[in-house]
Amino acid sequence: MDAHESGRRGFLRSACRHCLGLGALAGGVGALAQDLSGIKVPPRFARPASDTDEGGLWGMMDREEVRLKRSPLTIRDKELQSYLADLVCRLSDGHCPDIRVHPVRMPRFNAMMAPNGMMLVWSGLMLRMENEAQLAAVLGHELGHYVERHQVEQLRAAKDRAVLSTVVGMIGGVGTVLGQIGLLADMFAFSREHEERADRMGMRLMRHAGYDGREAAAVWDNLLAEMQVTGGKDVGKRGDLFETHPTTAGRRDQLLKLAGDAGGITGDEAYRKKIAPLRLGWLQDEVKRGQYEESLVLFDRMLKKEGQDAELLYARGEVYRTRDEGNDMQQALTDLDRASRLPRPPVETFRALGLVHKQRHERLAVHLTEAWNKVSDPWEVDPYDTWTQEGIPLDHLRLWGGVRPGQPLMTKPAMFSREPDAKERRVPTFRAGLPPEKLVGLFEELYATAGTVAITRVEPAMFAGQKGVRFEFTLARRSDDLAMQGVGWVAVRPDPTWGEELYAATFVAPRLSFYERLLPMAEAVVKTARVRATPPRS
Amino acid sequence: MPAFAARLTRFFLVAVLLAGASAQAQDPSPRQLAPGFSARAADSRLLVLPADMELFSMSAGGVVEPRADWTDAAQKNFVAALAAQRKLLGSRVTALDAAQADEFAEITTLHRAVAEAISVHHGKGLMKLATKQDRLDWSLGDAVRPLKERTGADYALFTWIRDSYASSERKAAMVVMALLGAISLGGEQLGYASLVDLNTGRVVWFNQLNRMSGDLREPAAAVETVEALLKGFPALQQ
Repeated sequence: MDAHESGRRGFLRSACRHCLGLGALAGGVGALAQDLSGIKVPPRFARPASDTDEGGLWGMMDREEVRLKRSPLTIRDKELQSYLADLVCRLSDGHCPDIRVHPVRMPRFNAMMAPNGMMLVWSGLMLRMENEAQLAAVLGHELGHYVERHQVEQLRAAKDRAVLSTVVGMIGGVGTVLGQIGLLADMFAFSREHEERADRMGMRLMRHAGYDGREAAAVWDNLLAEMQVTGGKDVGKRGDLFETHPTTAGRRDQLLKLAGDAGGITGDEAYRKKIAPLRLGWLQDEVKRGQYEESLVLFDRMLKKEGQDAELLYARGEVYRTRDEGNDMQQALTDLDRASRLPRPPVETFRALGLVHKQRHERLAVHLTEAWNKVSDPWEVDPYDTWTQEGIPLDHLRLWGGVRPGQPLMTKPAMFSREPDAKERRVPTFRAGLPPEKLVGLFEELYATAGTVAITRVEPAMFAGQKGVRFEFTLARRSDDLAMQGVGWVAVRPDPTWGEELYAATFVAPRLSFYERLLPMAEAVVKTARVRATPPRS
Repeated sequence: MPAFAARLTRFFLVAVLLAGASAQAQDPSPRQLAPGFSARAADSRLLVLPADMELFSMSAGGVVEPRADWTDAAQKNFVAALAAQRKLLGSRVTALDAAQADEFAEITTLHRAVAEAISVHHGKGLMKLATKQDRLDWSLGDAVRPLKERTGADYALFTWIRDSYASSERKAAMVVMALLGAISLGGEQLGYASLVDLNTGRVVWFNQLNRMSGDLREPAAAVETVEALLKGFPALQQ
């Protein structure tokens, strides 16, 4: 996405040093007065002459802004644009006419403000804000840099003018808008002193607008928690920014001190409503980032506040599903299943659920001794695989792999009937601790949706390396009165997370001629069934 | 709801929609014949089983109801229309009436399932079976042995027909629905015909009807339906 970025550290550099000045805070923070009344907001300033260095910078930024407006990543939602513009106006103490806010769809925690009044707010930042006060804190900080013209001072202090000219040259037309933004972020890495000043100015602006200043510290806490998870193999070896910058907690404390305990607006509900129409897309962007550990910290935190939020459950389920390590598939299933039962879940939830089922029931490995045809219903992802020799109206071999307690063994039978007394059908569902006859009962119930079932034989048998039962049954098919003959194998395997997992196979064919003819082929497949250690990735 | 309509699950609806009006070619196509089969053996005997047939009416709302009076008339018309196909069927034809055929009901039911499998999987759609490799390769196996023993015939012709007719209100509703861009089924004729080799159980010839026209309630129209159903029926070897 961002060509300039070199992995995680690059992200931290561009996200934090710039927007919140994390990287710049290597030393002590110094004395900050709790009293913010002494901080003066400078008056509006005029456009500098184009032959000055500052004028050159403005021109560069103007061109950048034109390009940005054309970018597909600019969020063109009028409501959000005017919401952000209003918020900035209320914060900026008279500078409002000079500032233009552009939301951009990028899944990073970032915001930036250019000297010409162009402000960019990343969707990843908006996703992470818990309320209006937190957003006001970050935007206030950015406004602080702007009103005190830190960027210009930074430019003048740049030691390496050659680098600057290179950057300006690139902005002249090479690369994407986003690549350029990445470069700019690094160019305008603020000094420690600038960060302190912007923190104080930001606090002054947000409190002046009536917001609770303590939320600025909450932003910091949340970001810190997210960044601290390194996860994976290189825990402790990554040289995380937080190991080398021990003053981060100090900054948070300073912010709390500045905030005082006067309280103020937090605007939780107002903020949630504003971003609600766009949030699902942002959540999906966050999942696609592939920084699973960070995303999980974020989603866990969000779900702590909104445990019944179907979009969040869907998003966290997707992180688990795509990471697919250890217990992830089961976690994914829990989240997605919960999401699907809530009112108005994202439609993607059902697709994701289907994929989880698919990935999970691929845990049962079989070896086909002869050619079989795999068939699937294009509109439904069944919790089993179906194979056939002669075609679906005649015979089927179904395989269930790794069904956990609470999961259905089949999707709901389709109802095309308009009979008024047609009720929602109950679907046979696996439960832990079922004795063998109850397990067989599940399949009796399952086939009863197709006709009249009679179990004719039950005996102990091995299946998929587990002790289980083999059962035989007859089925008088309701749709055409055809007499069918069936056989099934079911075994339950202990599972560390869910207690138990069900593995099963059934084979059904017309009693006349077909059953006898095809059974040996089905049995040959069933004999080879083995449980796979880890589910295959898809 | 009649059994055949309930049977039209999503699954089969797909197959039907995909197969669409392409149900039958003008000429006997190789797809209708089992590999290696082209004509019935000379002097072979053909057993004609009574058609498995039901007729329904469809109301404006699309509700289908079985009509026993129509079915009775259609059975008579169908038998008469088949008798008129003597040239096509040959002279050595044995027919079982409904009462005689009753003891072989499980075989005719099995035929219907096999015909459905052929219809779903031997079409042009997505449901092709890799193991069949586009061949008409289905067999009722030894299930047909009782028919052979009873009649001594070499081949059996199985037919299965479900026919529904839209009422005039239904037809009006269809026009309105079509104007609104909806596809609604307004009476359709579904039919399967299979020629089965009674020595092996193999389906050697297969044809299906799946169309919005055709009428079995009137003798003249029934002749047309039988002709359509037997299009491409294998001749006797000379």
